[in-house]
Amino acid sequence: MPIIDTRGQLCPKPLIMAKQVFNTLEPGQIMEVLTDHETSLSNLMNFFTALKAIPVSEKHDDGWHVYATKPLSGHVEPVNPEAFCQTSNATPTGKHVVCLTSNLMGKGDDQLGALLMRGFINALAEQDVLPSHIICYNGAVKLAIKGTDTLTSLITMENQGVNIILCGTCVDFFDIKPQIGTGTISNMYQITQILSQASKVIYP
Amino acid sequence: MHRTILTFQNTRNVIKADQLLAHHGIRARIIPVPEHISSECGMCIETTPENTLAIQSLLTENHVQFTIQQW
Repeated sequence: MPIIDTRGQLCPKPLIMAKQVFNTLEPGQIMEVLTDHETSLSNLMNFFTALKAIPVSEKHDDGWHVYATKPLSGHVEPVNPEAFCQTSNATPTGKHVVCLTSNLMGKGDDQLGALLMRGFINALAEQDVLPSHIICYNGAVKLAIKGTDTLTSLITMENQGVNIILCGTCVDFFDIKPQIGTGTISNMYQITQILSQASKVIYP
Repeated sequence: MHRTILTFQNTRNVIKADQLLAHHGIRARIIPVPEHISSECGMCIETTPENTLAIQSLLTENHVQFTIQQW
């Protein structure tokens, strides 16, 4: 039985190592993966479950031993190891969408509006439940410009699974594409679809 | 996590301080004043430990009054 030792390795390394060996197994053959990290254990279990490998784990003094069996038959969808990387401190994302229509929050004074919007984005990044998407159009695309505090918060949220969607027409209009530091430059079809499917849309 | 913020007497001073820092190439992070410090709506500047001294002297030189809060 092939045994791989992933102790001390950070995700997605254990999953990539496991996948390489798993691909070489004969149907019905069992492999063993050793890990010393609880989050890695959970990631491995999810990963092997997706591969229909019926994983079993045992806790020993040297860590967790995960046993996985190559399925005898049946089609298994190819899986991407990195998609199974959950970090232990990941913040859950909700089903709500935050839609930013400007780099200013509210009307009345633009300096104040800019300050409020920065406060909003930076506070949003600290919420317990993050939105599934943040959509930026018109002046809001400027919030993703390099060197801004809002970009730092957008990157923090993107790293936790939030999709940052930037209106491509708007990025082009303001001619700031080289300065954009995060997010997916997208189009109105996708923006329309995300807004239509959202359970709740927040317009700050 | 250890955090440092600068609070100001009013919002206009927050804007003034932010512009001053930007002018000197220091990036300020604007956050709402944490609720355990004040329940009123207000914005403040969060700094990193390595920037705190530089910000402090810059604001003092330019007569912008502030209070440092750490927790």
